[in-house]
Amino acid sequence: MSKKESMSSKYLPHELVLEILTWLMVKSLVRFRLVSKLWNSSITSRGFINAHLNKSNQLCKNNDKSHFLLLTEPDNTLPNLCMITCNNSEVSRLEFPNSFPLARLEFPNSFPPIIVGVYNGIACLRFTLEPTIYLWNISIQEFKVLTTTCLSSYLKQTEISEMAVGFSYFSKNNDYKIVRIVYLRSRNMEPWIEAEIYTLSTDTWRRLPTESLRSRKIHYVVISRRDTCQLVNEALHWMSLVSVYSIRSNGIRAYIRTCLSSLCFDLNEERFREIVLPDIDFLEVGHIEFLVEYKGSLAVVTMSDAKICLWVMKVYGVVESWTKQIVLPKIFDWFFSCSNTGVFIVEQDHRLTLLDPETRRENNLGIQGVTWIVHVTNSMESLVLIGK
Amino acid sequence: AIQSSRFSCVGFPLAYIFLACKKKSMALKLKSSDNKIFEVEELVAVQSETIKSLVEDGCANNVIPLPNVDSKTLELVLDWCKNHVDVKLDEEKLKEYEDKFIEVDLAVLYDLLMAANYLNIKDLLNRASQKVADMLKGKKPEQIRETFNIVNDFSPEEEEEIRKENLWAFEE
Repeated sequence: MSKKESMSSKYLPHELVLEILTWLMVKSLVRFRLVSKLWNSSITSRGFINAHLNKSNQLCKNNDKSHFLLLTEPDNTLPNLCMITCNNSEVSRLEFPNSFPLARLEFPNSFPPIIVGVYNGIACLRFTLEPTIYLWNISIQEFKVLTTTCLSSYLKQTEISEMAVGFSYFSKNNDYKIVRIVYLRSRNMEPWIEAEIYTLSTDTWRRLPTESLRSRKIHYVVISRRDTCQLVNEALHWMSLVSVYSIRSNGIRAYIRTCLSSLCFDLNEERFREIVLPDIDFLEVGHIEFLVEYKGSLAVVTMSDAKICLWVMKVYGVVESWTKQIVLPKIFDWFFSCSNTGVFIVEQDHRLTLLDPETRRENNLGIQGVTWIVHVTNSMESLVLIGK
Repeated sequence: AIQSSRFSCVGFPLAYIFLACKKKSMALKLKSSDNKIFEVEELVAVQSETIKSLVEDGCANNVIPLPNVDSKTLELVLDWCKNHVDVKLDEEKLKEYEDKFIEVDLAVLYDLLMAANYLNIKDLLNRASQKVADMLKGKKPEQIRETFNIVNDFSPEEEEEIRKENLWAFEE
C-alpha cells in the first residue's frame, strides 16, 4: 500500500469510522468483521445494522431498479432460486446455486419452498403444511430456522386443513413479525382458527386471540393456495373465503352464502378483522383472483378467459371506495405479482414479462419456467440476522 | 450528524435570519487552528450547522475560532460551502465539482471528515465518508488494519472461526 493511503499517523474517531462503514455493501462489512474485536462487535450491533439499513434504503430510493426473487422448476436451466434485478433497460441475475446455501439446511422433500415475503433482503420461506419457518438473509447468506411455535399441540395433529403465514417489516420499531394462522378441523367439532405472532427482536412466538374469528354465523377460511399475504397500511391481508350462516330459532344453522374476502391483521392493534372485497363473481369457472398491493393501496387483480381487471381500494378500509380501475383484454397467461411502481409481473408465452397495465408497455425478461415470484420492494442489502 | 451542534437555537425565528441574510450577507471572520483569518460571507459559512448556531446565538460578531481545523483544510471546506450556497442552480455542474473536489488522497479526506464532522456540514460529511468507503470496499482485513492503524486483537482461532462462517465474503 502506498504511503498516502495510510492514516497511520492520524487517529480517526470510531464514530466517524462507523459513518464510513454505513456506505459499504454487506460483503465488505462481513469481511471487515475480521479487522478487530471492536469492528466485529460494531458491525454486528443492532444500532449499526439499523443505521446501515436506513442508508441503503435511502440509496435505494434514488434508483428505479426492481428486484424479484423467483423460484423455478427443478429441471430448469436456472437454479431453483434466483434474484432478478431490472430497470427499464437492464436485466441482471443473481443466481443461488442449488448446492448453496439452501442445501445446508435439511429442507423437507417438498421443495420448492413458498416465499412468504421479502423485506430488506430478508426472505421468509416455508413449506406446505410444515410448521418450520425459515428466515433467510439473502445478501449475507445466513439462515434462522424457527422450529418453535405456540401451536405445537395443533400443528402435530393431522387436522390442519389450511395454514397461512404472513411476514412483515414493521418500520416503526425496526422489527420483523411473522403471523401464522391455522385452520383446524376436528371430528364432532366446528372448524376453528388459531393464530400466533413471532417477533424477531425478542425471538419469541406469542398466541393471538382469535375470538373475533369464531362465530357460528361467519366462517373464515384463509386460502393458502398461493399464500400471497399483502402488507398494506401496516396490516397483513390474506385472501379468504367467508361463509355466512343464519341461526334459526330452533338453533339450527342454515347456510346462506360464501364469498371472497380479505382477512386482515392490524399490526398496530394486533387485531383480526375482515376487509370486504369488491363484488366479484368469483365462483365463475376459470376466474382467478389475486390480492395485491397496487401503488400503496390494497387491490385485487381478477383474471378470466376474456379479460383482466384491476380493482383498487382507493381509501383504505372503506368498502365503498373499491374502484374498477383498469380493464385489459387477456394479454397474458398468468399473473405473479405487482411491483411498488404498479408494474405487473406476468407470464406471457411461457416467458416472464413486465407489463405496465396503464400504458400496456411490455418488457420481456426472457426467462422461462418460473413457478413463483415475489417482488422485493426495497433494498436487498441488510445485515439483519448477522451473527444472530 | 454525528456531533450535534453544541449551541441550541434560542427563540430566534429562522425565517427572520434567512431574510436578513438574503438582504445583505454579512461577512464573518473565521480563525483556523494555525491562526489564519478567513473572511467569508455569512451565507457561505452558515452551511456549517455549528457556525449557524453561533450566528443565531449572536456569538459571531468577533472572530470565530475554529481550533480543530487547520488553514489548508478550512480553505477546502469553505470552497465546498461557496459552491453549495444555491444547490438548485446547476445539478450537473455541482456534481462535476463534487467529483473533482473529492479526488484527494486519504490523508486529506481524513482532514475533511474531521472538519465536516466538527463544523457539522452534512453533505460534505456524506460525500467524504462515501469516498473513503469506495476506497475501502475491495480491501482485505489486513489492509484495513494498516489503513486505520488498528492492531489485530483476535486469536488465530477466533479469526479462523469468523472466516470459516463467512467464506463467501472472502472470495474474490
